[in-house]
Amino acid sequence: MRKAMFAAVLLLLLSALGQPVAAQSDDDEVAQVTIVHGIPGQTVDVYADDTPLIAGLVPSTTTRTFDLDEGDYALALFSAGADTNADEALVEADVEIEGGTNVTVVAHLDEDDEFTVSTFENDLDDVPAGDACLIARHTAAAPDVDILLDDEVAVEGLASGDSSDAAVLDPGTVAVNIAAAGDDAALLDSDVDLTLAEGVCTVAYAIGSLEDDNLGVLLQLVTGLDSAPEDDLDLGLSGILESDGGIPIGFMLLVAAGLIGGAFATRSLVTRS
Amino acid sequence: MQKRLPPVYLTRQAASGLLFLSLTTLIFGIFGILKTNQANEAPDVIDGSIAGFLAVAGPEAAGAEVLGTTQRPANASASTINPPAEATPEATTTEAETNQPDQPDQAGQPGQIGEAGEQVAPAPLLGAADMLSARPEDFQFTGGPQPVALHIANVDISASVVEMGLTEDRSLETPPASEIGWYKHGPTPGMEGSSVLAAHVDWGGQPGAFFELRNVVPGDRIEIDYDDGTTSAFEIVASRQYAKDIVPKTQLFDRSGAPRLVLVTCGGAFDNSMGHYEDNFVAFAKPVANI
Repeated sequence: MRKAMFAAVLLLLLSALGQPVAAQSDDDEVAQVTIVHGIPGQTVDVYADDTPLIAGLVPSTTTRTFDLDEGDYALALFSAGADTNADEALVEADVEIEGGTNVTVVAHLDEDDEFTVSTFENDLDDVPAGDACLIARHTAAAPDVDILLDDEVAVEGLASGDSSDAAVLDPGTVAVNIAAAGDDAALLDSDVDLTLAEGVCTVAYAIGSLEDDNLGVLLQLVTGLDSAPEDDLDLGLSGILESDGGIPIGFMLLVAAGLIGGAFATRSLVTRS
Repeated sequence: MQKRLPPVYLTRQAASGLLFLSLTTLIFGIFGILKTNQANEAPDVIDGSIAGFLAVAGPEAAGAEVLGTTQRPANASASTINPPAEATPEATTTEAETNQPDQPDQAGQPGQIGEAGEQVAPAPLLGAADMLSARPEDFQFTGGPQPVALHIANVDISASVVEMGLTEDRSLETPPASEIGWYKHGPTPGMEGSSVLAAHVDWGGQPGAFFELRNVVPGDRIEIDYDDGTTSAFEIVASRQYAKDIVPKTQLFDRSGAPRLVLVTCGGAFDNSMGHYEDNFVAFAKPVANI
């Protein structure tokens, strides 16, 4: 059973290799998955169900989103180049992938500085036309944090492993920083300037370790959520098109001339007789 | 006080001649009216449904997958996790490029493939390089050249292109009468997805920039000039006319799938009481080699 499922995964991943794909199977049986590697200092090989998936994934990387068949996967991260038979995995986790969902699987440090894997579902509404969207996720070795946008608290008390709700904002640049919950002092040396694009949901992951002083922010952009403009597309106000396309004056005049001339001629012929 | 009209004294020959001439004029006038009316009926669907158009534009457009692609650490200037300097992953190409041999040069050039890292035995399905995602600047919505002029020689359309956004109530801004608006929240023409260009059919009693758009036929060539000095070519593949309340806006403004143009203006009957046209006229185009 696992082998068959795995064969399906292989097929999907191979087809994701630069091949444009319409859905390989029903949307319900496939999920859209993005992997975030937020564990500092460890280049890793990623295995799913003992089959190598990605070799040499460097820290601070967000992968492309790919299709994955639904199912339960035993995910394991090894040090790059490690012998999976001899060496211990850095972190192992059973990840449940549900068809029709869009999820991000994040390898990160938890509050106690241990390696862990968290899965977040990106269940996102369409972004209204003209707006942008931002989500903050705490995937760092740090206690609860507040997220600051342009020096103001936007999200309060986010715990490690948790996600904020989606916030709808104006598109444009916003300066992001992190503070310990309830504290004023920003934890990042400098603000991270995010460009929030219209119609896109930007997901910001806090990663790293407070203790090791290497906190940072990784981004995932979720597209396909944009909305078309509202109301009618009004691009014409004078009605020329219709009069130009309506009964043309020239021909009308001809008809009139013909009628008048005909009347004269007929009258003349009639009165003469 | 007017006298009664005197009878017209024409010779019999003159009267007959005049009658003949008048009848000819009358027939000619009626014929002309009928012909003009026929020409101004709503254009037929030239090339099938929109799905047909999308199939022409590129197979991936029909079932375009959600991009959801992402990028590596934000802003190297900010404090980030210590990225091993030598292995900063760079972008790979986006899927949309692979099936478009005639694609004009895209502004967002894909970055180099990063190092794949060591192989493990057995060989992994995908090296890290293949799984890496694009940088923000590779996305059409974060940069790239902007269109500044559009020409359709066959119907004498030639106008400046300006940025066009949304009004406060989220409806489409309209461009000045003699200019073409490019929807700035969508892709630049030639980049992945539908690039929307809209202009007036008329305004202030004068023809607008897209007055002649309704006369395009499949095969008509469009040239777009960009602010970086380059030019791209496109070709009309289809046109449709829709009542405004059923125009498929979501499809027209879809930012995913094959690069394509959607040219929009108004058309159909003019509703005098409302002061606007009842329909939208839409022409679709695909990129072609710029030769």
